[in-house]
Amino acid sequence: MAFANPLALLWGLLAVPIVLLYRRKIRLRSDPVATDMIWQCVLAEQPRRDAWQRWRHPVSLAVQLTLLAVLVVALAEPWIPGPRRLVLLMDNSASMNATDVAPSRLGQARETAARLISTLRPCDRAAVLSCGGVVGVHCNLTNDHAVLHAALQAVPSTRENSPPGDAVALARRMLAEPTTCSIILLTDACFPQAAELAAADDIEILRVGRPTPNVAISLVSVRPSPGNPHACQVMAEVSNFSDTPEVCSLRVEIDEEPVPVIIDGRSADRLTLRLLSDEHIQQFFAVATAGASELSVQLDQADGFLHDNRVTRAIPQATALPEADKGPPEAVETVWAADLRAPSARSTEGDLRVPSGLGAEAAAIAPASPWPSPRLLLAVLGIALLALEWCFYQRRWVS
Amino acid sequence: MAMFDTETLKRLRYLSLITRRAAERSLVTTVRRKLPGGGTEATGLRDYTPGDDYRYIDWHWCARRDELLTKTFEGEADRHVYILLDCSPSMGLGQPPKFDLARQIAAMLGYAVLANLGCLSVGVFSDGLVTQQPPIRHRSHSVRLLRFLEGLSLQGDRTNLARTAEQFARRYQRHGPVVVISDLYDREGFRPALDTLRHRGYEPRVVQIYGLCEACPGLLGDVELYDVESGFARRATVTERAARRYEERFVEFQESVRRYSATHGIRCLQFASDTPENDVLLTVLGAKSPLKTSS
Repeated sequence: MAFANPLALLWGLLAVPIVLLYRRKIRLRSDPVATDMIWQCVLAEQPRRDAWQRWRHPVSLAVQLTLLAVLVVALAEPWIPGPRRLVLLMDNSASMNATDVAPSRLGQARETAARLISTLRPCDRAAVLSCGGVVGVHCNLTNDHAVLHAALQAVPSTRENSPPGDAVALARRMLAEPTTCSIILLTDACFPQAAELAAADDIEILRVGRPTPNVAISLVSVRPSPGNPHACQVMAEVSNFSDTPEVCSLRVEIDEEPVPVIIDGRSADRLTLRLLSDEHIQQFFAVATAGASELSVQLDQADGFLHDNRVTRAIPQATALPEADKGPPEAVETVWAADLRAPSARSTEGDLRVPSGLGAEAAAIAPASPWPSPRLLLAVLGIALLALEWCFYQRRWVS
Repeated sequence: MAMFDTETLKRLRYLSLITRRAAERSLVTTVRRKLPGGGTEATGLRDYTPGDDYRYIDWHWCARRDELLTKTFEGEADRHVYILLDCSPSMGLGQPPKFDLARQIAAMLGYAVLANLGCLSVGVFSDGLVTQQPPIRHRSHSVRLLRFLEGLSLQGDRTNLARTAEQFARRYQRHGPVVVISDLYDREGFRPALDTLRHRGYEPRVVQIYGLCEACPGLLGDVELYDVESGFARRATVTERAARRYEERFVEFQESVRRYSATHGIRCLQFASDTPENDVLLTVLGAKSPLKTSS
């Protein structure tokens, strides 16, 4: 059962004054009497109704609270939804490997999805899709919770970064009836289309993770050093995807051995960089390769996403060409770097709300049910309880 | 404010004078007793018995009848009047408190006794005799009586009339009227105490005081009845039927007091605690017929 007007449930707070007044009512006043020998005789003549006397007030309170609950539920406009069909879109892009939440964003998305699956009724069906890189269908629509949980665990982590547009389109094709179907996207919303998807009525975004500062190596280029076959020139771009300035150090490894870098004719073990917010700094330096094959550029920065802190490139072999035949420099290779400051999404982490339009639509189709309206049943029940409570206080019942 | 002010004393003095004519109806009227050899008015003759005073032998009748006859005299004995005043906690209830009216009645009776040259003793009781006023004989001692009554307070535990009567009979040997001023709320009943007084030769009189809150308690619903004497609290649901039944029971209790008194020739007066003082005064002193009096 869901409620079309859940704010009306706040009327349930009226139970507090009812209980307080009840406690005030059952507090007996003490009446001094000169002697109770007459009262003793009179009360002994009364028919024994100890059980009723003991339970009269608790039953009255229970009836009042039940009456209040019925009225509150009626105000909240309950409705019973039909079978639901649900598509869980698991974002397994590279940014979901961030460890700002334990164990990772993808792990937390799995847990959230698992909790969501456990709330499904036997008549509800769900599917599991991944949308980080290539769209993957891990489980088609089914009501088998074990299969769904297994599919969740089968969603792999990737180092790709594709927007979930294709996956959303596929999910919409899987769901034929939009009134009882919904798409739930579990993502960190680190893609430009997040706001657009959040505005869609049939998509609920459950965001995992939190905005995390990140410093990344966004560009790396390695080219042979002209005139020196035992050295190469390196261009590295470091980006600060943070709202605050960051300080980091850059170092280079050749075949996993740290080597000094030569910049402006001076040798240094590492380069210290100071980056403002959203600043990109390009550093050019030379490295002695001495016939090595692999070069790694690494940032010493303990941020929430470690995958973009190290880039490894093959060292190109130098060719002895005349100066005039030298071609253009080797194209700069772009390295993927994550901006973990996700744009604001409509939903927050762990918010398992039903899509807003669903209640109204379901309420609209509720009269088609063969059963009487729940509101009508609640109204009848409320009137009956009111009459019962009124009868409790009739003197002829008491005496 | 003093309980007995000057106006009260004036009213007592005035009413004691005008009620002498109605002394026969007064609550403290003593019965004239024939005392052989006592008094001065010869009322008859009887056979001489050894030990009789020779001076009272009527020699003229002896000569005529040829046997020894002794004169009998009727004299008014020294009138000892006792007041037993209930000071148990139940007397504190009522509006005004029953204890106030009880002390006023004791003062009225005492003043009347002293004004008629009687001898008065006042005993205060609850679960037994608590305190007492030593015998006083003259009207000038009435101030002492009033101060004694003013200084009384509620004390003791629950009312025990039977024990009080036993203690009273052991302490006061001279017979006379005993006015019991109480609400008579004794779990053991009031009859044993009055029987004790009767069989010990006293002349018990009863002044029962009740509060309107006892006659018509006006309780309904769930209440906790707290017995001020025993301290026992009883939780009960008082229905209208139970309230009516209580009032009937209370009337039966009052009626039983009157019936017992009528059966044994005991004067009985019953007052509500809010009865006007003048009505009480006139009734007690016999100038006015009580509405609920049996004698």
